[in-house]
Amino acid sequence: MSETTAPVEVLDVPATEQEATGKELVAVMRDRARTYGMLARIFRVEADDDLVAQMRGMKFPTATGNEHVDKGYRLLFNYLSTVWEDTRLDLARDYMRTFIGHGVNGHSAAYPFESVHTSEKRLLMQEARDEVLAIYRANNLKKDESWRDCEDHIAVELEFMQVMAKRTADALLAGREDEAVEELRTQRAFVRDHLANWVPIFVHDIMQWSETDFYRGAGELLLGFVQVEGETLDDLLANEA
Amino acid sequence: MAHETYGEAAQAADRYGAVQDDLELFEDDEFDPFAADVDQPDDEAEDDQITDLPMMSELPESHRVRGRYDKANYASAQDALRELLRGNPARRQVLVAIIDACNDPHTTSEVAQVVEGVQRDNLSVYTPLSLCRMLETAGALTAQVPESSEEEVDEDGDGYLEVKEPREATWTATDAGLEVVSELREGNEVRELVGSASESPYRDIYLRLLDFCAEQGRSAKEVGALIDDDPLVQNPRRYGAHFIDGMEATGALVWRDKGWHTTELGRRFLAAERDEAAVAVVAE
Repeated sequence: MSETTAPVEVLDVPATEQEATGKELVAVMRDRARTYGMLARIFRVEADDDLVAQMRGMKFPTATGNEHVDKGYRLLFNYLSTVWEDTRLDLARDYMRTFIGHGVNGHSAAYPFESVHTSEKRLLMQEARDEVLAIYRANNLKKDESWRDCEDHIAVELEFMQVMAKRTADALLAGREDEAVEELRTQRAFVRDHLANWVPIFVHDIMQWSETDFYRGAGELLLGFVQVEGETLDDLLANEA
Repeated sequence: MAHETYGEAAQAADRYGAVQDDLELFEDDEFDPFAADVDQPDDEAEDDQITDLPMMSELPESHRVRGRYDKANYASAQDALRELLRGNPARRQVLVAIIDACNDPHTTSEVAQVVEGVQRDNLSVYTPLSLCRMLETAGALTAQVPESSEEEVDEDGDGYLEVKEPREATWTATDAGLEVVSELREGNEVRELVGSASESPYRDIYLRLLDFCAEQGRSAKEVGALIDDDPLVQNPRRYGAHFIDGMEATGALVWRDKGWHTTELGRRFLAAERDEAAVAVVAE
């Protein structure tokens, strides 16, 4: 692709619509980044009052075209519409039960690490972790000193996608079309090779362990979003192999 | 080369500000990550889902971890509830009161009022919601979370839901829960305890204890003075606390207003035992 190639051409958009579509693309990238950011926050640590308050201020679409997304929003809405005696404690307890558990048999929680779900013995720090670490480094991302969990934690993988979507929006705005397309390719490969590979199993396990509509809804939303992401990135790069 | 970081703000408190920065990304009230997707997703992606890897649901039951009093661990919800009450004698009164109250549906805050009244003299680290959840897990209560279907439509014609005024869950007693409460009212547990092989030698002690606490509230010290020197409790050695525990666990004694009181159930048991004794004397 030459340096003068407009990204919207590569992204399979008619020339007459390129200018408007360019703005729409930036908006799409920012929406994607927001969603990745929200999901990363939900799965990173227990919910706090600020998160709950922010989510109570959200609008929950009812017909997005993906049944898991719709169900996820509905469950989140149901939970957030209900007054629990101590929502923060309720969610902290459910986070602990769902994602940490108290067993040592590798089957006592919905472990939020890709390695656990893609290695034969359900162990941490396996091949998946090495792979995502290499991808982060290839994209000039390094580990924050405060992060003490493995790099293939779902929150980190989602945060990686958040960063990449923001970079894509910035590149489009700055007219760096090749860079934007390359970043979209990276994102498509990451969704295909990683998120779409283990999120369905992870979400299935969330449904086994979670007792609140909050984390069950977040799980459904995550599953649906990863599905939609696969389709969106394929559509955007439709002219690519 | 400059590097960005990932995994920000995970554990360290001083990184908390960075989390908030991230959250600003979805502060927008109009947040709708999929609204910009103009194409409806096709169904092919659904077929791509992995379905042939081992799932947790395929694990043997022995790998599952459930709450101790989860009804799934017992033959029936009644058994789970009986064990819950047996295992938590100090919370028995309030648990029974919640089930009893929820014969008519009660919201969480209404249950909280019931709990506050019952636990006025017997405070607990358990919140009303925790107690309800325990009963729900055992199968004695069900929770109805209000379904909201007040869907609105934005300027683009897309439907959405928005949290207006959060509403409370409503708790309702199950038939199993009410059945056990009804059993408890009959006093079978007191009779079984006092009539058991290990406790029947102390029948008179139990009756004296109930009689003593029926007059007015009694402290543990006063109960000790009544019982501890009795020849019956010297060998094997028993103390007043042993008998208080037994009567509390079966609902015949309750701690209230800084003293142990005989409950209505305990009074009925006492009266029945006296009637029986009188009949025996007449028969002799």
